[in-house]
Amino acid sequence: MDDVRPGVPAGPIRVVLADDHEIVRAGLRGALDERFDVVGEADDAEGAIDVITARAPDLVVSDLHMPRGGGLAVVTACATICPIVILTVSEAERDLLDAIAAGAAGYLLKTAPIDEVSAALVAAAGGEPVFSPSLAALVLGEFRRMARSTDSNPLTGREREVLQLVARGHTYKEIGSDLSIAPKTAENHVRNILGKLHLSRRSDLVRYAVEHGLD
Amino acid sequence: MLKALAVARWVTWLWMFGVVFVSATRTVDAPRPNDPSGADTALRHPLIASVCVVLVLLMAVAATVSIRSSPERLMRPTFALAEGALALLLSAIDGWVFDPGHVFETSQSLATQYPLIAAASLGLTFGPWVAAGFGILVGPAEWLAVELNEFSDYSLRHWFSLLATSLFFGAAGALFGWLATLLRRVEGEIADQRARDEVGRVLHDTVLQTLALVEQRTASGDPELAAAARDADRDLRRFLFGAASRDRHSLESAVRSAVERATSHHDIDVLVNVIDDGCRAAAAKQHALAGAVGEAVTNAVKHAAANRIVVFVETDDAGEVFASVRDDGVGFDATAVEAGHGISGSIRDRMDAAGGRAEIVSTPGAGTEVRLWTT
Repeated sequence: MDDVRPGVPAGPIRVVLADDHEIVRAGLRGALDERFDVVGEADDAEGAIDVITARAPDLVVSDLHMPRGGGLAVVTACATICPIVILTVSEAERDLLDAIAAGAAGYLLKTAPIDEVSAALVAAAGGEPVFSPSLAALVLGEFRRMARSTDSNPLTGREREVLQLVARGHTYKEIGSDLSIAPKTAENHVRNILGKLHLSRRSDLVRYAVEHGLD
Repeated sequence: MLKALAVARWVTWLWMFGVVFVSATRTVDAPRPNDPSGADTALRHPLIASVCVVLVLLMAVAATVSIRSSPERLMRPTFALAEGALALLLSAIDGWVFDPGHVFETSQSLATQYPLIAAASLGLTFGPWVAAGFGILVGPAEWLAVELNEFSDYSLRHWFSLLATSLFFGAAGALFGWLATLLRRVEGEIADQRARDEVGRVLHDTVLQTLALVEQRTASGDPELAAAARDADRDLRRFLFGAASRDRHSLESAVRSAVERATSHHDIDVLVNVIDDGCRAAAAKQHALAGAVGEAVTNAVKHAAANRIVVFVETDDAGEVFASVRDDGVGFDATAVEAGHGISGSIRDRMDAAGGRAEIVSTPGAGTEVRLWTT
């Protein structure tokens, strides 16, 4: 663990857990070690937004499918307050891309080993995008579809390279040495890619709304 | 489709009513000698014509009522057969109801569009073959009408017209039947998908959550239970999101099943990422690539003592495929193996035989990556 990372607060990371299954929250609470301090819990999206606004935690771990709005509503409302990591069993691509595009710091599968989850959560609290290989592949596929339908790929060649390496299971450090760049630069590429995804998804939504006459 | 047919029935009935009404009231310049009605109209048998109009009206009413109460009644064999019989009857007595000189002279007939409706109805109920057979019968029925109309001055043109009628209605019947079959298949698929989504949602919210938790909590204490939970999780997932909905012939499913075969009986974390849309590589190349991926995963499982394997497959802009199989295992001295025999042989052979290539990158202690290209 790297405590001098900028943005990581001294002392334990204050976490809010949002999941409609009590047993999942209990499991997660038990599994998080002394690096974390669970300061609030919620079992639906509205509750989560209230708790996050009230407690201003360092990190939120949220399920994707919850009553009253789901993880997407939480991300949309609170992404500016602190990093939000989606912890889900879902592999439903649309949901996931929407959450990431809305500003989630990353997503993890509930089946991931617990030490991997907590390592990723520490990284996320430090502002590092938690970008799993499967998410990278999803995003890569999304941009590819976009490129085919609009004839212009918003990704630079280097960003594509980074994305592909993450999808192949490389860490930022490995990507850094593969491409002879600093790990931090690789991380920044990922951040930019997510930003572009965010923008293009948003303009997609606007286009959709205009075409279908929604307001 | 049923609604459209019901509307068509009404239109046909109106048209038929119009034809009969106009014919019944129209006075012909010179009353024909063999007109039994004695009246100077174009109709020989106005009463029969009226009965026919009423019959079609009854069909239209019955169909419209059924659509509201029980649409499945319209798909019953009896209804469709009745409709077919009525259409043939109307076509056949056309020449008898009207005055001689009616056939081949005017496009107005007693049946008007009814054979077309019957063809659609039969197609919907029995499929393309029966409907096509019915359509072919419309020609002979019209020939009967011609005979009943006391027409005898046949020329090639007339036979050709009758043949064309058979062909037209036969083709129409086949088309309607084919469309109906297609429509039904799509409806079935949509219903299946809905059911699967619903089951998926429920299982996702309950069973998968629990399995994930069991897996996580037992990982250190009870590896056997953890493995059982992981297997159940994988199978359920494959059922919900994977094989059931995936195209069985896609590159993705070929790669996934190769990986599954290589890892069944092994407790290892394998991640498979496939972006296969736009793939234009030849089937043989895809097959070779999937096989080589399976081989590489088997090697990683057996020899590398890996904890985690990441499989990545991507299609490039030209539609060719790149694949990478990467493990975090012990690795080996790649140069020594490159030189000759060894575990990389069968992977390389597969790719070479299909016109692709393979590259193996490994460092002792730092895992192995097998890279494959279809070009």
